[in-house]
Amino acid sequence: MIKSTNKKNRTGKGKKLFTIGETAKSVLGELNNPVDATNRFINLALNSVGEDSQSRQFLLESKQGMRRISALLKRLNSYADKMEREITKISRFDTDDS
Amino acid sequence: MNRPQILILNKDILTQKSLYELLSRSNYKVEAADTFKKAIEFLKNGNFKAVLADIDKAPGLELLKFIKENSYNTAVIMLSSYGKADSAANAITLGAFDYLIKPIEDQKILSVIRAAIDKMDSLSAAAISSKKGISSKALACGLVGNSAPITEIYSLIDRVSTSKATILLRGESGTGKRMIARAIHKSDKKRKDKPFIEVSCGALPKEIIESELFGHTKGSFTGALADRKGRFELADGGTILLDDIDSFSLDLQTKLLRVLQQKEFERVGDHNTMKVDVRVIATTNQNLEKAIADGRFRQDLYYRLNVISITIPPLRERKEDLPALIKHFIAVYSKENYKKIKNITDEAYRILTSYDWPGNVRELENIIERAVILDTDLVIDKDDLPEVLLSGSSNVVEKPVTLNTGSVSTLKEALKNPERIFIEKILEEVGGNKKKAAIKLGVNRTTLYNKLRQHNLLSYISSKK
Repeated sequence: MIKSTNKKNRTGKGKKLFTIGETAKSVLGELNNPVDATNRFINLALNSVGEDSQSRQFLLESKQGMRRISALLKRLNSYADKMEREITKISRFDTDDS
Repeated sequence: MNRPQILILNKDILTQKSLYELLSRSNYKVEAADTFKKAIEFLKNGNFKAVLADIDKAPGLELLKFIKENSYNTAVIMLSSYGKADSAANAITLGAFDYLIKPIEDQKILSVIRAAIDKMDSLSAAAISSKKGISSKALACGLVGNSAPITEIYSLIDRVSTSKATILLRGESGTGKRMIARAIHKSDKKRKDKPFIEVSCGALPKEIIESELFGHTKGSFTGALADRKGRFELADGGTILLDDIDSFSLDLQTKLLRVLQQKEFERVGDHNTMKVDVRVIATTNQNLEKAIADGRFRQDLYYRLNVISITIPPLRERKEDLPALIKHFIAVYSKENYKKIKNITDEAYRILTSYDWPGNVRELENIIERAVILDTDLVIDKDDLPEVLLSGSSNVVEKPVTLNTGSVSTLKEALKNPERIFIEKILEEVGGNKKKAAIKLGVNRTTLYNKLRQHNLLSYISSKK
């Protein structure tokens, strides 16, 4: 009885983790492309504006913002990766149990 | 110079466009596809050094498999939005060169592409070498490069090294004629362990050159205090390199002709004829045919020397060899100066590859040596390069536009590239000013805009502003 409750809990937890992992992956997929491209366009723009121009300042500020988003995405990536490893561990556990 | 071709496979148009802009401005010829089918079409019609393939939305893995199955000499760099160790490992196992997770720093992507191209170039050089049976001896003599003309020279070295024939090496100053002469000597099984004697004909005073070449006996002239062997005697059994043969006087040319024809000569002040077995390699950076017409060079000597003639192309005509040469000289001078130079920045690399190298390989070698010595942070950057390179656009030799007729089928397609080059040239001249460019080109502004859009030059204009 206890064994079956534990298994049920693990399955529930596994499903939850799977959903979180999948959501994180799709968020990453949707965000990384535009963030990657925007970073590059900012760099290209920085190469073509004057050293002391106001536009350069704005672009540098934007770059800072994009860096923060990039760092956040990297953390989300490692989180999604961790989720996936957890799911693999749980499903392996369940296979062993049965 | 042929810009290396890169193919982008990415469904995300924004990413595709950003990569296109970055790579185009980094001196690559870029094509972009958003489907597997389009990518295959590009691959079949182009000569791509690297492919940036997205594996999330686009079928990057399928493209990787296709490239490997069809043995394309193309490096595949996988791009993904989601980093997972096993998919990266899977891609590398299938033969991907690298696996990059977005967002990717520009410097990172450029350095990975460069490393991929270097690897592909060295693989193809090795393949060509083994295909043509080029001995590693020629390569081991310090000859660096894998462009078509240099590969042909490697092959020639191997073929001529076993013959007794006199060889004439032609090429601009600094192209590496001496190195090739040494490689010929080292590749000659019979002579490689015998002397290799170099004579800089232009550097020797006219009064002593005869005695230097043929030797003299004691008392044959003032200052001849003892018998002395000449360079031909010293080279007996081996090779003599006569550098700048065109600087010989007509009188000396006659004596040299006798050595070449009969393999015999007399020391200065001696009547005994000496016989030697020497292979003669002569070099020149002059137009000998013109020297003959001007009466400065003997025609019969020219025919004797010109049995086998090897022309070494200037560096500006084999810029594909620049990456390998840069890498080679960095390694050589880092070692010599007890430094551990790790890298060269993309900016410095771009400057080196866009310069036209009037002083050829020797100039490149000197500049790299200087950069290695001046460098303080173990990465060669723009500041380590001399001013002449930074303002080197005036040195650029204008080359005629060459038409690649291999892959085009219509007149419109054939004229596309020259048209783009001409528009770029005019835009450069007028500093990107569209109005002035339209006047110079003799078209109205609307036509110019259409042409700019057609050739993807709109971003070029904005970068000039």
